[in-house]
Amino acid sequence: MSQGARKTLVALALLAAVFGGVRAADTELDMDLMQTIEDTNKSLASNIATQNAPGSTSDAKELQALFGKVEAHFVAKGDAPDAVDLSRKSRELSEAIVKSVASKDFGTASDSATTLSRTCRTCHTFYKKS
Amino acid sequence: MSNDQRRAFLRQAGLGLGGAALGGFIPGIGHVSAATAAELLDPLAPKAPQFPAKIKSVIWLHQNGAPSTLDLYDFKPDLQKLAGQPVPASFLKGIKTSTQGGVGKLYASNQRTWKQHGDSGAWFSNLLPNLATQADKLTFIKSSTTVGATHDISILKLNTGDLNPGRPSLGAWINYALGSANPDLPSYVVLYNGDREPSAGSVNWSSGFLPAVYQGTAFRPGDSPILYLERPELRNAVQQRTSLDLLKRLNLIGADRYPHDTELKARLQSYELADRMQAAAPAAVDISKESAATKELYGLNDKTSQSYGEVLLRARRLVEHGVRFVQVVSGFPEGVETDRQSWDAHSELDANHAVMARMVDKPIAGLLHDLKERGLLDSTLVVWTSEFGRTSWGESGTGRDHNPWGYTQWMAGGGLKAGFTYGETDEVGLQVADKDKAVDTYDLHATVLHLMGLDHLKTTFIHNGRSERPTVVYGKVIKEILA
Repeated sequence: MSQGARKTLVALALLAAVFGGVRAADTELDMDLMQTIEDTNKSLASNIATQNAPGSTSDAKELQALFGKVEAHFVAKGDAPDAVDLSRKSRELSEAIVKSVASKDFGTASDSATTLSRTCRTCHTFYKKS
Repeated sequence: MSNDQRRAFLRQAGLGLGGAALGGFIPGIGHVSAATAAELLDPLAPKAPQFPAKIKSVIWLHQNGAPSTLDLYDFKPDLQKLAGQPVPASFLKGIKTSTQGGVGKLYASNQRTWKQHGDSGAWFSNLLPNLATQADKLTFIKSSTTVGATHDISILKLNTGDLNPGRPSLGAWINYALGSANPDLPSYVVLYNGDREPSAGSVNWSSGFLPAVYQGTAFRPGDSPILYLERPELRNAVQQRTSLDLLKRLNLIGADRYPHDTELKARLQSYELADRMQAAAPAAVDISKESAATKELYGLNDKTSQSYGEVLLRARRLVEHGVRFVQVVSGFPEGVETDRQSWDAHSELDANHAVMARMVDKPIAGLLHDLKERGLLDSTLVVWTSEFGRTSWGESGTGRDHNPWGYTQWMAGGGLKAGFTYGETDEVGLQVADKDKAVDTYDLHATVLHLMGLDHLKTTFIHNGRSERPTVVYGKVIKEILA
């Protein structure tokens, strides 16, 4: 192997290592993220109950993004179809809450938020911190 | 300060304190705000439900220690056929079985026989012959689930909806939302039988972050359920009233300065309540004048069921007197020697459940019959509940471990489909068969609140800047069981 080819190979290996690390970090699922979801979900329930539209929207959008991360994690992990389905359902419910709040329909938003909480519980029946 | 000024101050102070009871004026403080005083004096004023209620009172029968509903109501022929074999892997799918005793072989007692009862055809084992006669009054929830932990933690969840202390119990939420229907009695009473208080403690009838006045009041078992109820002989009623009036005025000073001190408000309320209870409570809890037939109906003629029967008879009397929430924690019969004084049969289930079932069977059947006869069952909800169920597999050869994945609870009373069963467990009684029909603690609470005319989503209290509700962030009314 020529010196130029060796340099190219090393550079590619470095790139692969760096991007591989970034990908792993993207889909990493730690307890902090789960704690953030739990706290945001409680805040959401409160904001919906008090009909605080800006607060509800902000919480629901944050949950939407967080469940996107959870979904990505389980897609990357593989062999976890239940978790993929449930995190996707949670993301969609968060999106639906944003829409309900935008139309001032806090009753429907509250029902969706309760379903979202149940979905969390269902998922944690299967997946627990070990 | 000159001597004249000092004398004037003392004179005014003396007159002021003496006249405080009449005028509401406190030297150095001024007039006590009428609105504040009224609010302080009556945080338990009756409040209207959010929509028409189906029931007025709840009798919450907590079966402490977690009975095996597989041995009481949930007949599983396949479990009997497969007994002695390892649990097929398909039944364990989707659950973490980190229970204390591990996963043993499927277990079925050879002492158990089963029969259908009533027009509803509900199954009962031979452990509950009397309750079986009431089959058509019951609404079974055979798809109950919860979080499986230690007894104390799961009991806390059963009563407050959380695994950590600090949240109000269901009774406290109802007390807060509806107030008292009888100002002479606590509107939330806790009863238990046996020689000791419930092991999981008073946190299970706590008001949590709600004002302390809404917490449950525990009555002891036996002939004197309320300690120190009688006025001392050396003090007459007028003297007591005068002392209480002065105490109230002094406490109001403190309450006005510290308006967020809910403990003080609760104390103010409890002094007044205690005074009124001296007249009202003895009649409400005295079961001595009940007829011999009624006593027999509640199993008072049997040593094993006597103490629990007395408690349930007392519960009925309290409901008659307008108490909104009676929380009954099962104890243990007197005179039975054993280390395990609850339904918690990790071993020797047959012996344990024979005693426990006999303790509750006749009293609960009697309570249901009696409520019906008196026209009270339509306005009362009886809830038979436990912190979790027990596994299909055996533990220690003769017992069962904890099962939070699928077990039976039931309700009876106003607003429900009587003689009805909702949900089911799988063929061996381990998990809820259809997860969409799973009923968690929060759903049970939401349904009880609904029957009381309260929307669990709209029954709220601001705590630490956040709107809190009885069902935390969960809860769905089980509409399928409503009449």
